Amino acid sequence: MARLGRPAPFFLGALFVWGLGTCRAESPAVLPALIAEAHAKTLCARREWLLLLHMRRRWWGKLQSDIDDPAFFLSPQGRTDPAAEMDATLAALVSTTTVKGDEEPPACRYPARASWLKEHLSSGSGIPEVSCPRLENWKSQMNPDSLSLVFASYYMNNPSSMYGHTFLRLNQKKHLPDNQLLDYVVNYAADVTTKNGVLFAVYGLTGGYRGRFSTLPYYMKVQQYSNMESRDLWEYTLTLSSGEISSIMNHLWELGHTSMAYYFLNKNCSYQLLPLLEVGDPSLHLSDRFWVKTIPADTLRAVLAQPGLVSGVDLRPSHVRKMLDRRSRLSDSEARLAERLATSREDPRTIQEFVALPADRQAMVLDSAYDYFRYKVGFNRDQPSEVQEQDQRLLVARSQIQGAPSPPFSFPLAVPPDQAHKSARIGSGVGLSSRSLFQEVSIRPAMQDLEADPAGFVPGSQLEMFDLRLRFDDKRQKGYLEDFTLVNLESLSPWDRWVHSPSWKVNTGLSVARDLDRDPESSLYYGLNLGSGFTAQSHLWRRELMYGLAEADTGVGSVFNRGYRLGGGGTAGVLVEAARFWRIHLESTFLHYPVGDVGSTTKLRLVQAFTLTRNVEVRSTLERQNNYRETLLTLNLYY
Amino acid sequence: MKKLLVLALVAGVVPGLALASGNHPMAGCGLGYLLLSNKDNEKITQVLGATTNGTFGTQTFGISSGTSGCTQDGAVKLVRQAEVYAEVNFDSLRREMAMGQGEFVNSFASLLGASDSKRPALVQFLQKQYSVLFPSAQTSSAEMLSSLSQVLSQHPELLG
Repeated sequence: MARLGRPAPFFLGALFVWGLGTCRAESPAVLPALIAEAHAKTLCARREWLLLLHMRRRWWGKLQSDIDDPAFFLSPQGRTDPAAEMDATLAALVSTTTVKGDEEPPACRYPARASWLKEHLSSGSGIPEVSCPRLENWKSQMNPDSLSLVFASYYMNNPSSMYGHTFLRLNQKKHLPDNQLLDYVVNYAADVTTKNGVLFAVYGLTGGYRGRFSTLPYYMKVQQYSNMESRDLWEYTLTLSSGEISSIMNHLWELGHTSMAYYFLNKNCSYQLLPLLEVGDPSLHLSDRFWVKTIPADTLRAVLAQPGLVSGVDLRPSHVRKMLDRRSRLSDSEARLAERLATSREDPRTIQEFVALPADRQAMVLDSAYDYFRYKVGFNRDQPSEVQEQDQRLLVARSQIQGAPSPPFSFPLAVPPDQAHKSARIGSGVGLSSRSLFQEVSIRPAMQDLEADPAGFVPGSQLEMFDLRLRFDDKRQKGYLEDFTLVNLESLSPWDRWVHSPSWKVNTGLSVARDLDRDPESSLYYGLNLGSGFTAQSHLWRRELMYGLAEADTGVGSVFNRGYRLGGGGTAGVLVEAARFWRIHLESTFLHYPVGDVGSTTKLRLVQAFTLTRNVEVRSTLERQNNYRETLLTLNLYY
Repeated sequence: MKKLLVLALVAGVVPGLALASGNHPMAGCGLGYLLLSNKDNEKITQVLGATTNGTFGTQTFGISSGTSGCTQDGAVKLVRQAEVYAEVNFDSLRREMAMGQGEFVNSFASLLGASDSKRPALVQFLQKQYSVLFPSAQTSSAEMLSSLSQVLSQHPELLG
């Protein structure tokens, strides 16, 4: 904190008072006392004050606020000088004149700062009381008795949703137990201004979008996540006192007036909820460890790691999860009937097989039929008239069956996202190839592959970014880069009569062309692989996925004749969850390259992964590519 | 208080309809975009991820966004609550009104002003009145609310 000379606070205060023009008669006397006391108590260095200003210590040693909007600060140096900002805040609170063209007096614009300063200054009683109708109106509608941290689960079909999303819900006691749809939600999101995909990525990564806080009814989020995107919502109830909640609400109002640069990787939707919670309870240290990357599931774990902060978790299932659960209670013929009703234009009451059922079974068939009907036509509102007619037919028929309560849902196998293994991974291994003995070290910041424990993730999904593998060849005493994958995504969604999306994969990065069986340091190339196909699922052990993907593969590098190769082929594989702690993955690939460096590659790979503890794993890999063979034993640690 | 809410509902819907521009009754609310869902077959939007988990109105629900249409500083205006709720959740609500049970219809009953003890009976009643409230496949949320206020004004005991 800058040490000003003794008389400076008086002059500073006087300057502000003079600058603001119309002041109350007692201001010149009150302000210097406030500022003197505040400096004497070094309030501007207190954690609570720094949290209110979102101050972070940068790598160059100085303090700077994450908030880059000058309108958030009352002092021109506010962004980097907590003392100047405090003095300016006190001056503003004492004058009650609106600043910067607002309609509200400063205490209404900065209620958290006002309330904290008043509490910590005995001369704080000199700060005039003001009435804040907008603030009070908003607070009375939000009115939380408790908060929940809600996690919207992984969604592979949208790049910005692959890591999940978190927001806060403001729970009102009067909405318990089953009116929680009416609660409000706090959401931090980027104001996206472009539909261009490349610009979107560029702006998102470089802070080109403004991030803003909004509050909106929970039911809007439920429509978006549970229905339109068919994502589960995991609701973690937080334990916070009413004073802590009040601080959070006051500060949220302050944040609502400003915006921050939104960065996909670190200062994203999940990150910004943490400083908000810290304002409520400054003893919490949640955001400190999130520097280079903030993965939503990691923020969840950070909150759960605080003793006593989370009191429980509830699952709000997606539309698809509910649909499949309801269908599982039907007999095969009832399920076929439901399917028929959902896809045809018949009135259920004209179908003999339907009419013959007892009323409660009719209700269950209609409910499943409607689930499937809605899933197929989608949740958008402008449907063709024949779809609307069938919609009406199904619902009119259902409305005529009274008193048939729907059995409650049950999802015993659903695992909350915080119980998954941690997001980053380091590995160390030793292997033997047809060339030599080697050691390998690997590091990967995010997040999940097919052979790791799927609990807490979408099974059959792979999301890897910046996976680096380095090897050391014992025979030639040479270290080299084996692999640097930029992005490796795979989504094996098992085919179900009702739910079937194509399985796909995308993989790009630097790698060694093992199939060419040359010195690895001179076989490095940049590759891109895309695949699409289908997956089937069975439950002979815990779960087996059998998949086949047609793929296109290309690589550029000096290792290739003509500098590149382009071709295609396919991959087939089996991924078995043999036991809770044991996965087996067998995969074979055939690729033919007719263009560039002409040739073919046949690959065979068998991986066995054993979970020793949630975050410790051992793997054995047997791999063969054309004439090249390799065996590898790895120990992986998730952190 | 609850009866006032129902009357306010009728009062709220009629001027809303009168002021609305375009085909859709909620268009005057500034919430018309809510009708556009995340159509999964809109490949470009989907693959390029043009949403960043903020689909519903960073602007409309911005905390200090001021007053406009149906919202005020990130909250739905009290007098418009039932209307906005019915419109945003129309399909889920309609579905559960036909079932005579569910979280959406329960919350709707609560917005209409039914006390906890009266809610189950009201929900059952709504199921029986389904064909009155939704006479055609094209019934809109505003039309449903209009029929609903008439029905409820004849049965005030349902709200309690």
